[in-house]
Amino acid sequence: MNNHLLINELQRDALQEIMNISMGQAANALAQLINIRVILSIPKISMTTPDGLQSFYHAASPHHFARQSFLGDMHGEVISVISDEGCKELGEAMSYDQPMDANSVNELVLELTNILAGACLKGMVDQLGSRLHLAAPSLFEPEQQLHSSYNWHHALLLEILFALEHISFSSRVVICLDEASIAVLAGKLNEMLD
Amino acid sequence: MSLAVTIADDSLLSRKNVRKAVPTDLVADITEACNGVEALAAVNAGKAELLFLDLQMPVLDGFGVLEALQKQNANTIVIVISADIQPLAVERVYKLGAFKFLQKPLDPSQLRAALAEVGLL
Amino acid sequence: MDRQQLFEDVVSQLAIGVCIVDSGYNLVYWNNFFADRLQMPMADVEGKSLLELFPDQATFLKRKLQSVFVLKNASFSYWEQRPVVFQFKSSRPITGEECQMYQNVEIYPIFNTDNAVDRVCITVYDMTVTASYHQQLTRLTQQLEAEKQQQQVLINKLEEAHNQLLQSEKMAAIGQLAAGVAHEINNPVGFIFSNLQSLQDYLSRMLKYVDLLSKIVDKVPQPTLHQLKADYVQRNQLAMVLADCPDLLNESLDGAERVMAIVKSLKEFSHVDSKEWSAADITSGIESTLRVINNELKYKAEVVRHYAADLPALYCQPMQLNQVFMNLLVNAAQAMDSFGRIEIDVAFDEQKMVVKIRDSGKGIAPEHMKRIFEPFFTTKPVGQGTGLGLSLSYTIIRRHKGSINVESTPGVGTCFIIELPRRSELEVQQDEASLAAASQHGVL
Ligand SMILES: Nc1ncnc2c1ncn2[C@@H]1O[C@H](COP(=O)(O)OP(=O)(O)OP(=O)(O)O)[C@@H](O)[C@H]1O
Ligand SMILES: [Mg+2]
Repeated sequence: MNNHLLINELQRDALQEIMNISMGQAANALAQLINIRVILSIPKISMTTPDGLQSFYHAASPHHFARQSFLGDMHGEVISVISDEGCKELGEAMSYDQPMDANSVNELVLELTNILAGACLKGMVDQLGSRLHLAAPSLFEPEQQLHSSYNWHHALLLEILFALEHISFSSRVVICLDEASIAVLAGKLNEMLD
Repeated sequence: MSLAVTIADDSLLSRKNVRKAVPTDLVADITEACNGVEALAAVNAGKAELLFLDLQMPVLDGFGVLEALQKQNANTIVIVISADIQPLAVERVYKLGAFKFLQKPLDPSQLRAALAEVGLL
Repeated sequence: MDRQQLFEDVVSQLAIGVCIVDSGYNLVYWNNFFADRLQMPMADVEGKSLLELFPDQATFLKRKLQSVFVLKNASFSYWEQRPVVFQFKSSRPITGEECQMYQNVEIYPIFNTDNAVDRVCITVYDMTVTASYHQQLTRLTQQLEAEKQQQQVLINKLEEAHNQLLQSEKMAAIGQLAAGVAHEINNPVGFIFSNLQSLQDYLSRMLKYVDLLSKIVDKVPQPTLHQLKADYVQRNQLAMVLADCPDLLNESLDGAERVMAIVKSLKEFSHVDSKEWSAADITSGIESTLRVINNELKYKAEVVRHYAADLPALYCQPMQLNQVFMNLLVNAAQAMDSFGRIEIDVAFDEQKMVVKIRDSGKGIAPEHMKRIFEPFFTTKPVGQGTGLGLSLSYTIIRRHKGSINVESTPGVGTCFIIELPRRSELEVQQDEASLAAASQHGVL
């Protein structure tokens, strides 16, 4: 995949560092909310195409999918893929009423998405000196997505893996930016690099 | 006489940010290192009386550098500047003999305060 | 009015709930939306803990508020997962079936001048209309889904019926063929049979003649002649030949007779779907049916007949009735777990004829009794039964203005009782005519 298509190596390095810093803040904040130590991966930055995004949905075990759009001088969507495994334990740690039914698992998935997306984006936009607004998250079924109808060709993916200490649970969050927003981002990164 | 300072960080942006944050009244001779091994080399070459150290780095990370410095009893002053701000990391850094822990993104006034604390300003 | 006053006025009247709490979760403000629905004016609750005001949702509210304070990002709650956060009265107290308001809740941070968050705003949206619409839609979808499944079942049944029809068409075609062949065989078998009969007659005369000649030869006192005869008889094994001849012929006659009977049944059965009305002998119909399904019966049961003497003819559709007998007899045979017994009673009185077919099979479970005449009701494995046999029989008997009933004891056996009114040709014609008229007028 051509990772150097829309941002150059320097910008990429800067973005990576910004993401590392946001992740550090996010992990710290999450630990306060979830009462469990959170393990965050170093964010992976890549370019993707609609096909590439589609392959991101393939998961062997049962997963939940949610998405959340954001607006501001950059816009895009956050997609989270959350394993069904571990949801119940996590719900307990987050003081959800027990036992949890399908409905409360959905609620948990939405809340997690909001927290993860918020935590990841917040640090990033603060450092970039921009503002953005997160819309409400919603659940979705990737099979029902017609990716042939996407009207974009390339998007910037920032992928972060979350894991929890002592609980078998995994989730992935990707922040997707469209081409126009990538240009804005590149501009902001240049300012910082000057 | 100028102070031998090394900035060890794999990110160019962060190295720049540290450089920008270093107060102009500190006369410094600055060397940059992109990973832990380069940082140690700088220390051994006498280029690091003061070391700004990132934790997440390739080849050898910041913890590795601190351990090595502790072993060789180096009298380098280490200020850790890190994205990982979870209490566990902070605790470990101090145990390994760092002088100060500062969080990223680096706040110049905090850096200034830290330098004053060591007596460099 | 100054700006501040203006905004306060607008916010207080907004059609969404607005509530502001500080970092200790204490109430700073709520608008009329909250005050009116909870009957708690602002003045009464200011400074009170939100968690204490809504103890049921305290855990939830605390988690949400905390996340907004810590992450400085908005947080959301939806009616789908959590219909009611605040105990508001339904927005349709009179006409709605919902007794509480469905809500979407959004909580977002309010930044102070230091870019820190010491208050958050809670907004509540009334989603009752959407929710009830959505739930209606869900119910409808479920209903449609169920109907679709029922239709699928029906389609499968139709497909099966279609296959059955194809099968019976095929059988009819084979029947035609058999009838043609039977017709062709009928003549030669006829003359073979009558020739064999003549041959039998001639042979017995010839045997007598041979016997006579042999005795005459014995009487002639000529040893060489005797020797000659003995040699000849010996060489040609004539004793055996002569003894065998009558047997051979008897057997052949028997065989020819059987061929003729089968041909006759075949001819009769090739008209199975004939709906022709005629005066017919019920028992001969039963007999020819028995011949056709002999293979299916002979290893399953012994057939015992109780036919009343002097049975009158019945004006009926003989081929259709044969179809009924066949269905009942095959069912009886299929009900046998081991070799059993099938009894056929035919009796009559002034008004009606009564046919009973009784078997010693496994019987019918009580819960199935009501259903066996339903089309497609079968307890037999797929491929064996289509469940059409009895329903067809029922239709045929109704067409004869008769009745078909069943008595059964599980483990003991089953008895089907058919009663057929003895109608004259004229009565039948009248009934049929009114039936045709009714069906033309769309009554049937
Ligand atoms: N003599 C009997 N003994 C026990 N059960 C019977 C008898 N006759 C009918 N039944 C029950 O009634 C059901 C319906 O019979 P019906 O003749 O209509 O269909 P079928 O025999 O299952 O299939 P088909 O006749 O179309 O091959 C049978 O499946 C069987 O359970
Ligand atoms: Mg049957």
